[in-house]
Amino acid sequence: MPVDAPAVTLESRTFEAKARTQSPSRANTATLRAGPPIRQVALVVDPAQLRLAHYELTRRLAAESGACVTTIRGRSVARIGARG
Amino acid sequence: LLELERAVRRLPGARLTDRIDVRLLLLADCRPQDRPDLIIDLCGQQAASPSGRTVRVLYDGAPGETALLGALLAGRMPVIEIEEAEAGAILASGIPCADNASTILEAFECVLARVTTLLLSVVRNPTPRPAAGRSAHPVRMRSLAAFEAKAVAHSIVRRLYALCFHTPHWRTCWRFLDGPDLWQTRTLDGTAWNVIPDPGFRFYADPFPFVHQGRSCVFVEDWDHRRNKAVISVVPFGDAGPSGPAEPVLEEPWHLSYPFILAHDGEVWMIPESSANRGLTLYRADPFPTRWVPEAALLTDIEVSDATVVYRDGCFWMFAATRDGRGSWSDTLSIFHARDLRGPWQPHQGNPILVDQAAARPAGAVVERDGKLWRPVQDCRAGYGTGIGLAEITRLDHEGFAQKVHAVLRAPPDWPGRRLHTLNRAGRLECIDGAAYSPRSRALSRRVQTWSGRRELPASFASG
Repeated sequence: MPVDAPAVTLESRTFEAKARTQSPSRANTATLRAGPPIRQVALVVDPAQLRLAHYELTRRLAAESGACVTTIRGRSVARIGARG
Repeated sequence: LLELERAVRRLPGARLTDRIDVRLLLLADCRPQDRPDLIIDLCGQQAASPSGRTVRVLYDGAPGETALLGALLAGRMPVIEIEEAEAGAILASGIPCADNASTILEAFECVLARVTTLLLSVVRNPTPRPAAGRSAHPVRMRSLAAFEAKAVAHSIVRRLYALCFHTPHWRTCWRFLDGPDLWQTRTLDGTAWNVIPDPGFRFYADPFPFVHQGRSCVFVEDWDHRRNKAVISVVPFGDAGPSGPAEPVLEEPWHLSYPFILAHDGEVWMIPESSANRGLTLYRADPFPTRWVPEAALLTDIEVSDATVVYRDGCFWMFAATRDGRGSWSDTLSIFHARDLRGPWQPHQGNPILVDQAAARPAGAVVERDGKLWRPVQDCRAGYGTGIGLAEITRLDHEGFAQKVHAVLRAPPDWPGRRLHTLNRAGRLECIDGAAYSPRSRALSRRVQTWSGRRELPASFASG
């Protein structure tokens, strides 16, 4: 039988970098460890590329996580339609 | 481009892809003296971080919506990863599903919906994990044009099909087993399958066989094409197969399906899907199997599909597909747990536990083999109901969950219908459902039977 998707493994809960790996089998793992709550979130947004999805995200971030949400203006790395 | 597609394809309503003005966000600018705990870089530029940790969204390993569009035009859903930008650690990842999308815009929206899901999960629980390691596809105008031409052609074919056939139309197959079952053989081959006949304007899907006081029966979603709504019906079984027609046993003002059934505490219980009512209700048989009385509201104000309960280590565990905001109904797995079947049910603190179009949505009851739990899962990579994965649950507790998909069943060429949907067994009776052709007219029905030969409408058939 075909088993062709990458493995996804959660191991620790810190922000340290981890090497990118691939596994030949298809596995899904989720492990939780406690950490400090996130109270303030800043969104880097491109005002020229804003979508309703961004509005939904900010609304839910504030409502569901209780975090204070602010914005930082940026510019998108690539725009649809550019030569690839 | 997306706006052009929306206009041409006449897609109604507000869309996540709609452009908005920055003032609509109603957010204050982040001041230099602010020290956010988390910066979410939605531009992918990775540089604008005056302080705090920065995460960004990757599509197949590349930032920006161009990578997202490239994957969609290549005919696949991208792996979404939330990357801690400086170190490269992946804090959340998932593969969304677009089984309810027929355009690029709708598929785009399905992805954006799960980006929100994953970003919210990072805020709740930023846990690093390995990256998927895919490479992004470039976007070229030629591929855009080719994709749109193909999409328009598919749309026309779908509309013509819907004019001639009821769609979707499922059917329930069954067989009595004396030897190994599908969990052991991992194939549809072996003992011949039979079909529970339907009248054409109704179909039977999501079969849950059950043995009670020595008698077998199969509970099904009983969909009526004329009403566009389903009730739960029961098909009585004797030693030779169905011993009577399907009889409705549970109806609500909303659509019901996936009649998950279990025996517990001397009673028989049913937890049918009722996502159309944004809730989940526990029913008790009184008497079995013809009357079901609501006993408890297990979940409220949530779109939950295919709830499947298993008792393990002194706790009831419920696996269910949950729809987080918009997007697909089939790509997000949530787990709930309770000490008592009637509740209260608590969400697993890792919810959503999994975003994966190939392994999230339940496809039948959990089974125990050699002390290990296995769950059938819907593999929707090629569309809704196009495969069933057999997944071993390798971890299930309050801190974590792990599963490994060992095999994926797909409909072989001689299987009637292209799809597989729900797999269950009780006693000797094993059931699975699949899609079928159901012509709207008798003349067309005769033509289909002539054309398709043994592929369609046999009373009994063998696969392989």
